[in-house]
Amino acid sequence: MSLTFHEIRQTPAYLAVRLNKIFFSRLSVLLYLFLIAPLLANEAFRQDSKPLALAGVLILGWLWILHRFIEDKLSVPPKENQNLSFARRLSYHMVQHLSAKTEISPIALLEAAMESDRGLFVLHQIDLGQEAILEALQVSPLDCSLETALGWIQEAVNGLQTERTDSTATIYAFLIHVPALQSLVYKTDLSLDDLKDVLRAEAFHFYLQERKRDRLNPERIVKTMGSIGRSWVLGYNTALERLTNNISGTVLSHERSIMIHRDSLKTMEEIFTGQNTVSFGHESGRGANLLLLGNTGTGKRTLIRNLAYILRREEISRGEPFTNVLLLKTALLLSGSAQSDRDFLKAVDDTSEGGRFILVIEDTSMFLKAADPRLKEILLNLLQSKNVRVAAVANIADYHTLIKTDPLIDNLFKIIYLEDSTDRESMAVLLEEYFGMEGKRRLRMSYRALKILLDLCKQFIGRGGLPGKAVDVLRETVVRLRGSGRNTVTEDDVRETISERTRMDVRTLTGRGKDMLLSLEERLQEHIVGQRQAISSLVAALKRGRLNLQVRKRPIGTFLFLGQTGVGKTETAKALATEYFGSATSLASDGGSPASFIRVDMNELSDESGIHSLIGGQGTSGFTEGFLTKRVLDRPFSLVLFDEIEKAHPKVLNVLLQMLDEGTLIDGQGVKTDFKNTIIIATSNAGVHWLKDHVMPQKPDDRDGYRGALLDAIIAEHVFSPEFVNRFDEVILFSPPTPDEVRRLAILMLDGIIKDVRSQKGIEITVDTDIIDLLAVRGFNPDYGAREMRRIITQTIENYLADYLLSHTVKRGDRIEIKSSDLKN
Amino acid sequence: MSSQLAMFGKWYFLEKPTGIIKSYSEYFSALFEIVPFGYLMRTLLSPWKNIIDRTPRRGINISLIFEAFCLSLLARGVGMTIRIITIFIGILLHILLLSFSVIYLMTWFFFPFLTVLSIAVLTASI
Repeated sequence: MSLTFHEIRQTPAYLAVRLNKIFFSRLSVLLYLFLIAPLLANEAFRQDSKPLALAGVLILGWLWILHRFIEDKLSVPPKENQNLSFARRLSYHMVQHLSAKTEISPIALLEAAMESDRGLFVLHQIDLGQEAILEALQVSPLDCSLETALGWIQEAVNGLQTERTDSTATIYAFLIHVPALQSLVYKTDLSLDDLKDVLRAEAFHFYLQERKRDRLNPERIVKTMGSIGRSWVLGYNTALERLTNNISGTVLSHERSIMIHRDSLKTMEEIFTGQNTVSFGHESGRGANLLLLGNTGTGKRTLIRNLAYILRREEISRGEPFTNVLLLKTALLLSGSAQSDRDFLKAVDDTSEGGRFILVIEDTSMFLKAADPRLKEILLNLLQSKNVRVAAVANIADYHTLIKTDPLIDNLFKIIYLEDSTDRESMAVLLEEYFGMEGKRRLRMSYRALKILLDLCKQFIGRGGLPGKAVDVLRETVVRLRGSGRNTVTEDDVRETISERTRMDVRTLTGRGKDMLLSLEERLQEHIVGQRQAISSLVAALKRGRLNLQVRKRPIGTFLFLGQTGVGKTETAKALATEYFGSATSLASDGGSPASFIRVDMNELSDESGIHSLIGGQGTSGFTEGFLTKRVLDRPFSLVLFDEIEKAHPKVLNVLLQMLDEGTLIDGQGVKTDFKNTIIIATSNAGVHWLKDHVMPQKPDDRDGYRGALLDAIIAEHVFSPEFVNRFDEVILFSPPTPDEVRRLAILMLDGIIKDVRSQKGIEITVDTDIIDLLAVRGFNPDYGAREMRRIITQTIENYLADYLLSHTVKRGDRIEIKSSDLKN
Repeated sequence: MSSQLAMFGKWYFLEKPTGIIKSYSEYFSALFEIVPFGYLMRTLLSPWKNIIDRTPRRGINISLIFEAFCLSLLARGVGMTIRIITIFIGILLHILLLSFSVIYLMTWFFFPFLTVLSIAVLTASI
């Protein structure tokens, strides 16, 4: 394989380059004007302008012919590619840029590729600049021969199956073969597979651009104009017109390039054209009704429109009579008079002779939610009517609660379940959306930013399905950008949007994020007295979890807190929720819980019905959503505390095991709730008697053995099974406070009261140190822990203050001094 | 240079005219799809938008039957008129398309000769 200037100059593409330069460059246009101007001026004074007109027509005519020759013949790749030289197979742009170089070398090839529009597009998509590449090659120069480079490029062309050797294949070849460039790619966080996806996206983008230019294409004209006369035989029936929207009529005028869920689309087409004869529990074929199930955002409505498009296109090409896809205006039908539904059914029966119909019910639940027998009857009549095929749409929750529970209706449907689209499909949809916006709003967004958008949506947005929620986030991000005056959408913009949506911080682990983790231990200590070892283990486990954000399939961290009552287990959990997830929705000043803190009191789940309150179940008034699943769906970033977990019913514990293992819970409605962004903490008083009898060692090394012995004791008592304990990332022991810690706790609580009084009443309170000693002694009880402290403070200090304020006139700015002699015992 | 001229000549006198004819046939098919003569002829007498009155199945009511007959006549008349006009327009468009294509083809073929002729005329006039 070789490539020389001589060979390049022999190619038709080179001729095209030269001709374009001579006849169609900006310089040549100026030349034409320069030549014509004096002639025009001259002719204006002469009577006979026919010769000038003739000359003009001839010149323009030949210029146009030349232009067509260049476009149709010279720039286009030859049909039979196999036996041609490398030069012959180069694209127009490659030849254009290469011919301007001083020599043909590997670096010249790369430079030529990077200078073309398509090459620039690819580089921009992967966030790599020309300068960065050239710089990298200056540091470690290319040491391959021209022949090797040509071989790489040929390999890339074969692999990518492009028609000609163009700039994108060239860039790809160099990026994957040159180590210095490979590491540049890795630095942008993209794999080589991603690179291939980018090229595919670019090819698609190029195809769309080409297609936009070809407006007079006959196929396009047919699509726009449609076929005249076919709808003239169809019934003009007012009830039908009023209550439905005919989407088949206009469906062809919208280009549908990306169609996801192609398998489902094919099945749907087969069902409605009668080709699908697999029985689904009742008679198949004629009169088949379809139920399309899926989460919001998985593309059910788009699928219906795609079906209408395909049906119409097929019917045109086969010359068959049209099927009209009619969208039912359900609200209108159901809100009408008692007659309206009867009229509708009659209308449907009447018009069915004039053509085929598919009735689409987009909001099937509306018929059933109100539990009105009359509405249900309407639906049944529609489904059972032989002349009408129904395509109903519903989301999973509604299906389980409203449809599945009614076998009569359920059996009339063939069900197609629409999963979330795959990553590939979602990216394709996002790219199409982006390309649409790019043209209109001059937007730029790299492939990587789109990929991160998709990943973050999957991770952090619990409700809704793909690709819908990703497209929503993309649109939202673009809208937010408009106000800022920028037109490049960066990764940070995407993260901002998602942070706002989920009310959580998903910004990159730089700056604030990193600092938060590093200082987490200190900040937790500000909330909790003592428990250094416990907090230390906790934070260590969390640090490990947080950094593996991308690959995790389980909750961020799962912990079992052991220790007697009142030593700070719940307080630690609350403090962690505040510090880790933020106190975004405000904390009340007395230490109310942040919104990210979900407490489940296992006392209330001590019997089997507890499962229903967790994950939902059938109640008397229909399905009630589970309290836990609902809260985590709404706010995926939360800390869930299972207090006194030993009190829960074993079946409830089994449900929790699923959550600990897989990071998900499937509720009674079939909806999956993701726990991958939660911290799970279970507290227990189990083994408290053992703890009393065995003193906790001071040295951290001995603690492991101590903990092991405690766990053995707990297991021996059959409080928990070994499998259950093993599910947790860490078992954290909370030790009873030392006298010094009790003292500090007393000071902490007193401080709280003093601050409150100062801020609310403007009164300064000082307390004798004797009182602190007193509180320290009386405030700690081995059985009740620090709860005793709270009680003592209420009894002594707060009562005293209340009495004082009632019996004395105290103004803002006054001081109250409390001595131990003041306190009643 | 000679090979390039040969390539141009081949393209000009062979490939491009073939392309023009192929283009014409594509537009012809497209127009045929947009105005489907066969379908319009088959449904020439169908009532316009299927506007009909149904006569009751049981019993004989002369006035209702007469009303239905009149409406049917009217609807079919309207339908036939509109369809005939459409067919007419379709034929006209086909004629236009054909004429345009023929003119285009002829002009293309003879343009080089026209050029030579025009240059001769122009130089003579100067």
